[in-house]
Amino acid sequence: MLRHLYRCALRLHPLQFRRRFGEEMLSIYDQSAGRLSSSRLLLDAIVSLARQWIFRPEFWVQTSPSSAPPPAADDIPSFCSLDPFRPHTSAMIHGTVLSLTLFCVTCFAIRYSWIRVLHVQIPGVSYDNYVSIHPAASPSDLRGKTGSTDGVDKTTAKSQSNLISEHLQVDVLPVVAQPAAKTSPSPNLNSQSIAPTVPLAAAVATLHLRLDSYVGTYVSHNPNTKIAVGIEGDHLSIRVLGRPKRALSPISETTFVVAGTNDHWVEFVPDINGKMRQLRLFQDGQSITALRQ
Amino acid sequence: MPNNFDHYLPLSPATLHILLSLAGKDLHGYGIMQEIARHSDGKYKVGPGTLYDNLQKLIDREWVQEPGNRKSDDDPRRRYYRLTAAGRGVLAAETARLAGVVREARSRLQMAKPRRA
Repeated sequence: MLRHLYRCALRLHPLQFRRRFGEEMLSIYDQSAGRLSSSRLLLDAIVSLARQWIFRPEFWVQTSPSSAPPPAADDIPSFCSLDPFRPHTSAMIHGTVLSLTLFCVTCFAIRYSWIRVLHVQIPGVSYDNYVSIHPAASPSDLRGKTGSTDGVDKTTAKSQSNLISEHLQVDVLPVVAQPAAKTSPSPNLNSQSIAPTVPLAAAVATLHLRLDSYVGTYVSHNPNTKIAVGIEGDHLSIRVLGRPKRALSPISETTFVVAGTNDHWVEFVPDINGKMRQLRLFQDGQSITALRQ
Repeated sequence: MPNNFDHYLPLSPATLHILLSLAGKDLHGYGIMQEIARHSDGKYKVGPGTLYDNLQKLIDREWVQEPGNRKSDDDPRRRYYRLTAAGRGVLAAETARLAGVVREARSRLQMAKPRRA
């Protein structure tokens, strides 16, 4: 057993050392096992193993005679070429350890140094500076804008904060108010409590709103209330009975966000002629369904 | 000539004992270990790891070499080692250095002896 371990320790020695002295060391073990303690020889081999790998890198690879420069011929200069050069394994290991150490020290210094020369900030995705989009906004207003001076837009931004990145740039087509001929089906909204997740850029960019088709009074019986939808300038507005009028910002052809509220939006249901016959107002996790008068 | 080896001096105990054991005749590894134990009266012993680590250095410095001929009835795993002229020179240089140390030590010890009244 100890002899097997001794052989294993010898095999772990550098190749050059093992080839040169391995067999002879094993013969010494076989010869002196009765006199010296086998465990002492095994310990000696382990110490030798550590010594060879740590302190004797110059003997890991034997320089071959062919690597020596050839003798110079008469009148012909001889040059040493680096082509056959192969770095020592020890040099590679030392270089790797040194590089890793330097890298760790540098990272530590950057992180905990008193002198904050480098301020490395990884840009994160932020949704705070949402640019509100409504039909009146021009592309130049929207492109590169990080905030809005309109108070209504600011509040709308909060309600849509989970939809749009601050870096979103959208080209909005001009609003065309004309009789509705055909409407696309409404987007699939999974839940009343979840804000619509329609990609805004794609939806708004291809949107042609026909404002007249939305205008009217919508009546709900549960709860008993009236909802008036009208045109304010070039965008729609909504007014629930007993509440102030709010602007509507489109996110699709049938879905609008109520400006100035949190998580309030309106979804219109068109008839076969493209005119809206019903709306559903989603607010505070509840919905109100109202039919057009 | 010994001055050429000054930058190698002083030798480590293992190197000194190995060179000293090879000064008399060619020896294999195990023979070197036994010879070292003999001429140091068993006070200094080297294991195979230390022995061959030092032999590796000595061969690389060309202070020790492996003679080609060997005994026919010997263990084929054994390899013999011989002291070269350079090895003999460095051993002589170290011996001279040690002799100077011994001489200096003796003279100082002699001076320190208390005189009889």
